[in-house]
Amino acid sequence: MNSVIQLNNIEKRFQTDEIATQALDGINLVVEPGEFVAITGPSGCGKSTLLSILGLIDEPSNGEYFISGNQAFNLSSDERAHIRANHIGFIFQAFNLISDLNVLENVMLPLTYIGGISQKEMEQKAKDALAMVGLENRINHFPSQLSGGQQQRAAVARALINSPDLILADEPTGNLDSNNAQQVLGLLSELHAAGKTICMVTHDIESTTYASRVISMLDGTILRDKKQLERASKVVGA
Amino acid sequence: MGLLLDFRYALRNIAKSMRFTLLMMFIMVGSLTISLIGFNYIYTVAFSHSQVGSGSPEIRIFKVRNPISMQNRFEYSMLPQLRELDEVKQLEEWLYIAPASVWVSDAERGNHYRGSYVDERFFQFLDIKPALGRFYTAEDFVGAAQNVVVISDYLWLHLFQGSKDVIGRTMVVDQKPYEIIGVMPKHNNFPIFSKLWLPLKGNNTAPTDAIDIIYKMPNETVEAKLEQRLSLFFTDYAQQRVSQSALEVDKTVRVESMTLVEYNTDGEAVFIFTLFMAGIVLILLISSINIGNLLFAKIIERQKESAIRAAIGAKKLRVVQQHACEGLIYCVSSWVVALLLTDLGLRALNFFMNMMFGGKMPYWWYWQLNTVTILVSLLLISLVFAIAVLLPAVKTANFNINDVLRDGTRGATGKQAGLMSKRLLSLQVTLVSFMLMASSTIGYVMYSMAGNIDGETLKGVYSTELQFQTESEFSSDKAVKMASALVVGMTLDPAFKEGRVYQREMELDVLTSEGEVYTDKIINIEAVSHLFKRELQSGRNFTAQDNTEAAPVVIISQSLAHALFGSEEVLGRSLMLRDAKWPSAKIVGIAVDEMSVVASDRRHEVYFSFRQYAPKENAMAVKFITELPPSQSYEAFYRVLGRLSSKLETSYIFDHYDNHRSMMGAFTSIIYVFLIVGGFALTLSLIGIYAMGLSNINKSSYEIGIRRALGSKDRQIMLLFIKKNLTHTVTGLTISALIFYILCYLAVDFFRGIVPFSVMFGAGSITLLLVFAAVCLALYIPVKRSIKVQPAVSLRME
Ligand SMILES: Nc1ncnc2c1ncn2[C@@H]1O[C@H](COP(=O)(O)OP(=O)(O)OP(=O)(O)O)[C@@H](O)[C@H]1O
Ligand SMILES: [Mg+2]
Repeated sequence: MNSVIQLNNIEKRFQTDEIATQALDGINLVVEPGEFVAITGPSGCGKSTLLSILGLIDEPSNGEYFISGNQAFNLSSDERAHIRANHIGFIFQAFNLISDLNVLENVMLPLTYIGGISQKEMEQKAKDALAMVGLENRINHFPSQLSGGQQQRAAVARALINSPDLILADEPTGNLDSNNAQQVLGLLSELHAAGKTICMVTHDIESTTYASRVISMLDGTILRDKKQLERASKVVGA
Repeated sequence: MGLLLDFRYALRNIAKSMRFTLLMMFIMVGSLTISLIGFNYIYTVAFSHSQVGSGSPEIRIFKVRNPISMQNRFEYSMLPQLRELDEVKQLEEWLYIAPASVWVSDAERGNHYRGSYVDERFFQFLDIKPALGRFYTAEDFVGAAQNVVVISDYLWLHLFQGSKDVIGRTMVVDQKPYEIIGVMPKHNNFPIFSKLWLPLKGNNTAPTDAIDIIYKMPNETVEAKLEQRLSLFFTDYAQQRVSQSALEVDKTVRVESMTLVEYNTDGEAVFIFTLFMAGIVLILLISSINIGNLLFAKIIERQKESAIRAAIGAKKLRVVQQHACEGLIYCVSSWVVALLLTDLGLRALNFFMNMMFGGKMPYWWYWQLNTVTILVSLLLISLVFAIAVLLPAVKTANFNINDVLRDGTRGATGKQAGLMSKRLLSLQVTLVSFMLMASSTIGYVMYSMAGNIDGETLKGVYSTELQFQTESEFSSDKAVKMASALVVGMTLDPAFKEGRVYQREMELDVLTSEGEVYTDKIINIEAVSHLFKRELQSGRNFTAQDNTEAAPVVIISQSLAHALFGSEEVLGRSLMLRDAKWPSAKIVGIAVDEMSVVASDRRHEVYFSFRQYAPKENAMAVKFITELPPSQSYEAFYRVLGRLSSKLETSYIFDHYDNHRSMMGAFTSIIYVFLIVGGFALTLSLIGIYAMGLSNINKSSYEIGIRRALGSKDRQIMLLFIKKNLTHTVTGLTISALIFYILCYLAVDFFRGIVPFSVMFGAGSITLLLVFAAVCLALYIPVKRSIKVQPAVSLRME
């Protein structure tokens, strides 16, 4: 079986007017199916950039990326979109909800891009996903009418609705209190237990304990990469 | 203090988005410049006054509108009494001129020119020096003096090749020798188009010759008094000459004082001016909306920033001021640039017009950046400022701070604001497409009308009007005799292919078999001389026997015969008449329909015998066809005229072919104007729509990023965003199409079917489709561009 993610010497440079930033500098990484990877590191070390490349919403300046064994470089923009819609769930650092759509519509959005699902079914799925994150009585609110934590949870629901194989989460608990954070992390580890592959960026040492593998980054490179026993399974097992 | 800060901030913003700034400036400067040049052009043509010397007052001409008199003018014989009027004496400077069309000939050729008989004060009044030779002295006006003439620069160049020894040479004017004593400086073709000036005196002027009174306007009250007095004078005079019964109640005499231009156009210039101004304001309105929408989008992009400002204490006015500052900078700088460009454009226009029409247009048409234009520019830029700057600034300042700040989605606009921008888009599309539909249809109709005219059939066709020299010489019997003699003369002369004398526009009605006045179509009623051969379908032409002793006869056109009697036999039946000499006339001939030059048959024709319907007034119309060039045709006509026993006069000969050509020229240039103006308006608004689409997309690029990150395909995104804008575009198109088609429907009646509905509908619809395609393209390009960037990039954008 192919690994979900294989990065060979990935580089990413940003060129602004005066300065060039080397956000990623030779990243080599293999993620196998069912892994729960936590990515940590100081602010600005390139975590979000790495996640964007993993999520096919940005392209590396250099290097190769194989997603489920396919060379990502060769994919057309429609094929990339197809993968994003069907196989990837993305939780953004800044929630990235669409302000003109209400919570239900926001959560349904990925399904509309998959196609072939009836409106009723989509609504049902969205409601289920929202119930999972405890937002079942906020479905007609607009993003501006939600608290920060609620917006974050709506974003999580949206990432899960297409039951993706790969979940990419950029600080999913950054805006949440410990109670809510626990809830979201619990959800992720349940998904992990169900066999999904997860990559999560986090600042928080506590959160990394849910992961099966912790990667530490510094200045665009991988500093440390270590596997560990995860806490979620311990909790579940206990 | 705050204002200064706002200005500094606005300047920084402008510098930051240079591309947007340039786009805005382009639209603003472009539309303002074209509006100002258009305004100045029309204003100069319609309202500029002829001024002689610098700073002298405006020159006006009296025109008498008197329905009783043939000429509607003062006559030469009135002069002695006119001079004695106190109100006239009060005028510091005035003079009289008799406009005329004169026949200038030499051994080989001859030509008609506009000329003026002038009095001895003429050149002092104009305050100009001769380019060559001298102007008149008092001796030149003595009856027995040698006939002298002053010629224009144009004649000097065209007839005498600008030779210096032209002074003292002889020129034959109206068959009489004149000595050339002076040449007028260039462009001084006063009044209007005069090419030569002759002394007005007893031996070259008939008492009935029309004269115009020209004066420099002293002041409003003097003028009002003068007008009143002259009106009274004219009424008295007319009453002395015409029997009381002829003065009907509704036929009042009116005296008008007009500027030279109004005089030349009979006041039509004002109407045309208004029409063009409406067009100019429309263009400006379109671009104001355009700019408004762009600024609006820009303000919306910074709404979060405004909310933060408001949150830390900025009052609403301050927020408005902040945005208005930026708009004000755009407006002021565009205004300055537009004025500079207008100045340049007008210089170019002046150069171009003088190159093309120098000598043919009035010399006081000089296009330049004048006070009126600057005032209008101020007015227009204020309009732009109000519509494009203040309106959006005020509208967008009405946000809920909390809503905007809490929105975790960044760049949020809120539904309300988006709606306004889209409504503006609809309005803009409505205006542009309506304007284009209207102008393309008018252009197309004109073009096809011009195309329908077979100019060649007009080659060698001339018409003129003849009069006895004095009213006392005129009688109906004599008119009939002269008409016959003239027609016989033309028939015998090999120069003429055809010639007819007729009486036009006879006021009588044709009745239907039910005894009602026939009104379905216009009927052209003429009395024609007997040798005139109309092409007949059946029956006969008039003969010399169709005179007052014989029973009344009539020839009618095929189409009228069909309209009145259907398929029944028509020859020998009676045509019922009202207000005519006889209650009915026997139909002796059916004529083939006379095709109008513009559209195929839209009139009926009825012909009476000239001998039975002799003219009651001193006027006969003549039409003749020759195969000779114009000057020889004129000569041939004067030859025949000279052989008549009574002296008949003509003041003009109308060359149909020449007229047709200049009409075609005018049509073509009008079509060009429509194309240029319409194309310009379209370009401006496409740029605007494109920019709006671009800013819309920029505003939404965040959303596009999210959607793409969630797996939306590019095609879906494009469809979504085009659909979003398209609804409003289509709304605009639909509204304009509805208005347009309704107007077309009404216009069909107005034009009496000359232009069928289908033609207007077709031309309008094609334009509509083109506009639609162009708008779609303008909306498509920005979306296409936004899809080129990676989703992660647009997600990071603030
Ligand atoms: N579009 C861009 N243009 C220029 N520089 C960029 C761009 N995106 C990211 N960078 C730079 O790349 C580096 C990595 O950014 P990234 O967002 O990946 O950091 P991060 O590790 O996610 O930080 P944080 O923990 O604060 O979110 C930073 O130094 C950032 O300034
Ligand atoms: Mg980050």
